[in-house]
Amino acid sequence: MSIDISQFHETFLEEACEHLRDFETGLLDAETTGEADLDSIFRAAHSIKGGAGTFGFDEIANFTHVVESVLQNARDGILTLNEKVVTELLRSIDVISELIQAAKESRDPNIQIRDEVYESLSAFMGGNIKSEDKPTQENKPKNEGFSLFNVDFIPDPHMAQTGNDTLNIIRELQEIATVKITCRIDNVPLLHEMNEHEIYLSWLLELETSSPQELLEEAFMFVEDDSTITFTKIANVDIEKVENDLAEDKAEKSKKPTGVKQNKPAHAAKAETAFIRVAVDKVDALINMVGELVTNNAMLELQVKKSIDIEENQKMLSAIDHMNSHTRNLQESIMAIRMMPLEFAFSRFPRMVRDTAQKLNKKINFITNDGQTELDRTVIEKISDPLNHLIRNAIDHGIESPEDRLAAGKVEEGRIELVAFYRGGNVVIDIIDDGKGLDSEAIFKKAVDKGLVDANAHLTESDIFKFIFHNGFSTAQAVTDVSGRGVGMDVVAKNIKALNGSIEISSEKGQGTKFSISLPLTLAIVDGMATKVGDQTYIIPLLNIVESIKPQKDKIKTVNDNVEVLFIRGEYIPLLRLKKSFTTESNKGLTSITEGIAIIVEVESVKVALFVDELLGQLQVVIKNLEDNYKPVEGLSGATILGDGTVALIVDLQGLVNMSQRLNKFKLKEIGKHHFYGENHEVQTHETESLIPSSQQLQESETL
Amino acid sequence: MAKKILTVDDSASIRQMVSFTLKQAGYDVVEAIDGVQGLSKAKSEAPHLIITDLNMPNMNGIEMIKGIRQVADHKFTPILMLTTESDTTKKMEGKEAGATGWIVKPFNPEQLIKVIQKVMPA
Amino acid sequence: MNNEHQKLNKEIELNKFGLDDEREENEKVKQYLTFQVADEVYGVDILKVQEIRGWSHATQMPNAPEFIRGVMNLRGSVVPILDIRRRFDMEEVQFTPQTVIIVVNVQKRTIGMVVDAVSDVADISMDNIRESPDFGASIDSSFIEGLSPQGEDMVILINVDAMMKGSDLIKLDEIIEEHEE
Repeated sequence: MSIDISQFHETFLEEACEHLRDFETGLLDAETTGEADLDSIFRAAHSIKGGAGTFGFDEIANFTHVVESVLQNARDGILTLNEKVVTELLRSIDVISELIQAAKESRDPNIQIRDEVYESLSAFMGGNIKSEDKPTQENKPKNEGFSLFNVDFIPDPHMAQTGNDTLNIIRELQEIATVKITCRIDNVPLLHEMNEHEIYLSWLLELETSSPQELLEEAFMFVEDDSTITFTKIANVDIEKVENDLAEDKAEKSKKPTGVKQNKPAHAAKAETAFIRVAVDKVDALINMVGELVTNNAMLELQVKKSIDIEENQKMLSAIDHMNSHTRNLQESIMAIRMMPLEFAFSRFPRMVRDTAQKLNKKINFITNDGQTELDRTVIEKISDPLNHLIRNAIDHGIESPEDRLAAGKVEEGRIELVAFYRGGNVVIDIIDDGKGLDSEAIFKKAVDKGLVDANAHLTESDIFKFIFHNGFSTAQAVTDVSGRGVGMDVVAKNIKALNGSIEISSEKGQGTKFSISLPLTLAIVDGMATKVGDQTYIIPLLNIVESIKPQKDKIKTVNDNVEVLFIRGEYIPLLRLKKSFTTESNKGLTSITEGIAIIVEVESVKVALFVDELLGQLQVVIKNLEDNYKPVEGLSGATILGDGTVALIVDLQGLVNMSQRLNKFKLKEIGKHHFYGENHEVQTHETESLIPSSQQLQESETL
Repeated sequence: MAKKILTVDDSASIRQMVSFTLKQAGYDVVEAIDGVQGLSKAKSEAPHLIITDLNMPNMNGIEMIKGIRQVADHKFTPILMLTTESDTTKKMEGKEAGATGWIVKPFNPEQLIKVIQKVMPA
Repeated sequence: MNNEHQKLNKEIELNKFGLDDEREENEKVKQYLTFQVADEVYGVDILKVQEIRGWSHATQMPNAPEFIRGVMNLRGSVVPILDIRRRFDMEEVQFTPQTVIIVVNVQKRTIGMVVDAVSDVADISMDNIRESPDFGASIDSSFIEGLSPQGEDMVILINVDAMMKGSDLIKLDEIIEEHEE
């Protein structure tokens, strides 16, 4: 039988990476809790070694053998896992990782670090590493000619209970020798004394064979330790008694403590799922195809309903209904394939925290809880860097030095939490530290210095904190190796926004800071409201829609000549006409405000009314990138293909608001945020320089 | 009827290889990913032979072998453990727990089939 | 898609198929899909052409330069449609049944070009290509790979790569930005 084992290589290499992650997590846990789950760490290394050997990755197997030996000593209590050992073991992860990567890419690995780490690990063992005994089946001495053997075989009485069977052994011998069998029954007890599970028979086997003795002995390899087997070679020339020394020295087999403990059930839940590996483009192709299917389905439904008598063809219609619902289920299931546990992103941070904290001489208790949340693969990939940055910042700027903490009456060890959970249609990731917090005064002062805000402006704390997301804004006293170059926070904010996510900061001076990131579950599908503007169809994300109303003429005011506001239930909401915001060649669309519809949407706690011709209905759409073939367009998050095969554009509300603010040179937010208590009441005033119209101005504009 | 073999290993690659090899050789194969699942499948699937790794999460191979030997139907079922040559103590422990024999890692498909035939002639 | 388009699409496929061998044997002949805009004949490297199809409604892109006619659904992809007449500042015409979109693949992007009509697939010898003169301001000469006489006509060979990557997409971006500002 010939089997190409290279087909399992990819699986093995992927799996080895997972084992490495467990290995790393285990080591870091051991260091933080002081209690090592050495069994699981050992198992990870052991599995890598075993697999590497089996699949022919000798480099990996040989190196991991040393790692395993160190861990074995630790498990046996011969070696203490101190910081130095842990650091080397962590480095060994890098080495194995490199070896795996090299194998994946079929290139030569970087052997310099490997040799370094190998040296240090060997040093921990006192240079005493037992080399791996390779099975030596090859190069066996070929026995020429014929031999006769007498084998005296007295099975261990309990042999059958290990599943071994004398018959099997004899059968195996018969394949390579002519066997004359004599059964001895001297030890068979009386029937009532017999235990059905024990063996009382023993055997004398006379073998005539051309095979060497080693091959004959192999037949007994599973029973030789317990049973008594005596080989006697009766050669042609002289009779030589060969003592059976197969059992090696019994001393070695006296039971050593094995250190096998009951494993913690910690990984129980994780281990239950079986996986297959699928290339991402295959999944994406499926998503595309099923998107097409949904579209075609809708087209079919439309055409059928148009062309047949509905009353007469109920069956056909219900079949179409069924098909629709199956197609949607199919679509949902396929989308779910792209979802990945957030754990994948989180697992890389403990190591980073440890290394960074060590570099900065800080003590940090890092706690993660992924809340078993899952996100779209692309979201996971793109959120790692921003998280990495925020956590580094928390270590560098958030957590104080142990001395400072003690002086401030805090525990010496700082605490950083990375927590994820579901909230609504989003996954929220919080990064919480108990460090010194953000200094809102210092940030405000810096913002003033940089000309970002007027010195007399009165801003809320959370508004002030948002300045740290400005390009080039860093309040770190010293630029350190770790962070504080003033690049990054703006990139963080930008990346999160690119994922349709948002970030909020709360902080209390001296108590700590919390960054809260909210991300949509997937980037690929959005629930939307289809709206018509002239001959164009725009999709508004349903999540943001508060309500839709038919505006009355007297509820529309104009502020500063260019901004329309809609008065609704004591609130003035800026009104954006999509026709104006999105200018097109044909430039069709309603002008008269009473004929169309105003959709009130909320974006980052700002309300805006969007004016469209009519609502076409709710639908779930697959988002297609515009930049794939074109370029990103401000105010649009993408496009989708409608049931009739035409393209509709999906509105990016945040982008639209930003764009309108810039074009109109005013802050929508200021208008949206303030409340007016009826037209005859005094307008709530604010000292900031905003463009809120006074009630007088408003009355004037009304009379226009 | 083809003989049924249960393979227990937490490593997917090894499991895949063992499975594939056995299926090629005409056996029916049942897989389990740790001792707990192995024990339960040993009971529910009534395999003719069991191949198991020793280092596994949740329940290791030794514990599982002990458990399987408690099952009346499996008092004499051949159980092979996957082990490394250096694990002399493991081998002994496995034998005491009731293992029939072992397959030394690293192994290749041919070796695997040879050992199986040793304890379960076709 | 009408029959003629189908026939041409098939021809494009066939031509692409046999091309590799041919190129090895004779490096100097390239195949071009020729098309008409106004009175001129243009040619585009057939390896860049994905398919041709008739004009149908395009969704207009907001705040886009006028030579972008909009976007269309092409088997699930959203593809921008570039109007060659508008791009080259030519006189506008009403779209007719002959109006055709040539779908090209450039720099991993798929883009449609609206042209008056497609003509044929032509073998053009590299030796027979003249450098294009400077057209001055009206046409960016980097779009033009060269000129090749074909019988009585002169085929203007368009360098789609340069049009999209070298100058056009960047220009396109700039123009769009100008529009926005």
